[in-house]
Amino acid sequence: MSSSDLTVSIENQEAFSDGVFQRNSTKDWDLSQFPEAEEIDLNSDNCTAIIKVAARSQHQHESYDLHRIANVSNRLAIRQIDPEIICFTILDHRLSQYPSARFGLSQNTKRGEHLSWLRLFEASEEASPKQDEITDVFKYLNGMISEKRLSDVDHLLFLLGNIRMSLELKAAILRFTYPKKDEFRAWNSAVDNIQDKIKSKGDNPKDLLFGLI
Amino acid sequence: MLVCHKSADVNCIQVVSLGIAETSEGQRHVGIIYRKDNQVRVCHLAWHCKLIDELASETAHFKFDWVRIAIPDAPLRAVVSFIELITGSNTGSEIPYSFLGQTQPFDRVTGKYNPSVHAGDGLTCATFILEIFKCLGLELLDESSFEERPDDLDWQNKITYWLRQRNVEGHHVAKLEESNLAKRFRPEEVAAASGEENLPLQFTEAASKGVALVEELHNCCPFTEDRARHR
Repeated sequence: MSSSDLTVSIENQEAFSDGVFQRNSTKDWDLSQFPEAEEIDLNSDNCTAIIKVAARSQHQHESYDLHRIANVSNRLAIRQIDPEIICFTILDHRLSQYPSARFGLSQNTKRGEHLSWLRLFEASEEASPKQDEITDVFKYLNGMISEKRLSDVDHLLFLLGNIRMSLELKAAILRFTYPKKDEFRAWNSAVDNIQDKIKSKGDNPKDLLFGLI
Repeated sequence: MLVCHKSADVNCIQVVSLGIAETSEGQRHVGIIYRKDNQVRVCHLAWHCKLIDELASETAHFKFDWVRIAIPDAPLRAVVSFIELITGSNTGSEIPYSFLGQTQPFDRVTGKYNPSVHAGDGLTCATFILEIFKCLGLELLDESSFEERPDDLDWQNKITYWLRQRNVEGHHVAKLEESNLAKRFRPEEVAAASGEENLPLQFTEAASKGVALVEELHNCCPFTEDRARHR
């Protein structure tokens, strides 16, 4: 299935049009236009968007009701991570409660919080992780890669800049995935993103990202 | 650059340092000294199929001196966690000793040693460390810049002789005996590189810094026959 077979719709009480939510309308995205990711601002006071992902060829629809995250200002990332899987993720401080979901389009639709373990490591960017936390993150990544869930790891890297986690732990994730960086489309941009964040705090990125930049 | 164990307590190591010792005449050995759970441990490939991870206070036959490491603490904490994966995934008897090297000796995810694809493959104490650091984006030496050095042939012959004497599998030793002169990454070069900020070190720089480190080592902890008797 190619990306041109897929559309993503967001329906909302106040639906999205030209960057502004308007009532009772629908915005469709043809993902072939957004091979990497589409990020959408959902700046609605009462955001109860329903996301529909449709595989045109299969007439398959799946809806996600986002009412769980109502009344917050969110950004939504939609991304086709491989020919058969679309991920969407809410990019905000509540990520740990609703990290991501994905649509499997060639088989029964799957959903789930594949990155829900991230909530265990929620911390401010300035926090210094304990040694055991770094080891545990390595073990989670280890599990994902051992189970061949490379697309999930790639999605994690895609999200890395936005999740609430210490910068040192984020750098450790980049470091652990370094040997497979060519297999992750989001690895380089994740490095750039973390580097920018470190710089914006006035720190030298060469400390945390030593050897990676 | 070198900190002597006689003048400083190994417990002053905060995250990771590379330890070096002269274990027999002209034979250096390198290992990773690291802090875990407020204890200082040593992880090193001691010999053929002998990966050791133990408290620094328990190293029996020799004491490591160590190089003041120039790599920042945060990446070193990742090294500690990766060592934990490796020591947790291996029993200690998987890694053959070999100067022929091995492509991707560790499963970069599980830390598990990948059984050798070719007879004679394996690691030395120095390449064991290079591989661990490399897995995490920390390249100590520019391996492609290294050249074969004729004086390493004597060392290769010494190693194969020792392996034969200790009844290591015949096919493994035979492969080493048949091999030509190989590129060698010397323990002192790996240890010296860890003290440098601009990595990876090129061959010529690594070689000269290695020589300087050995001089320092001989000044503070020269090899003595006493130590040999304790082996």
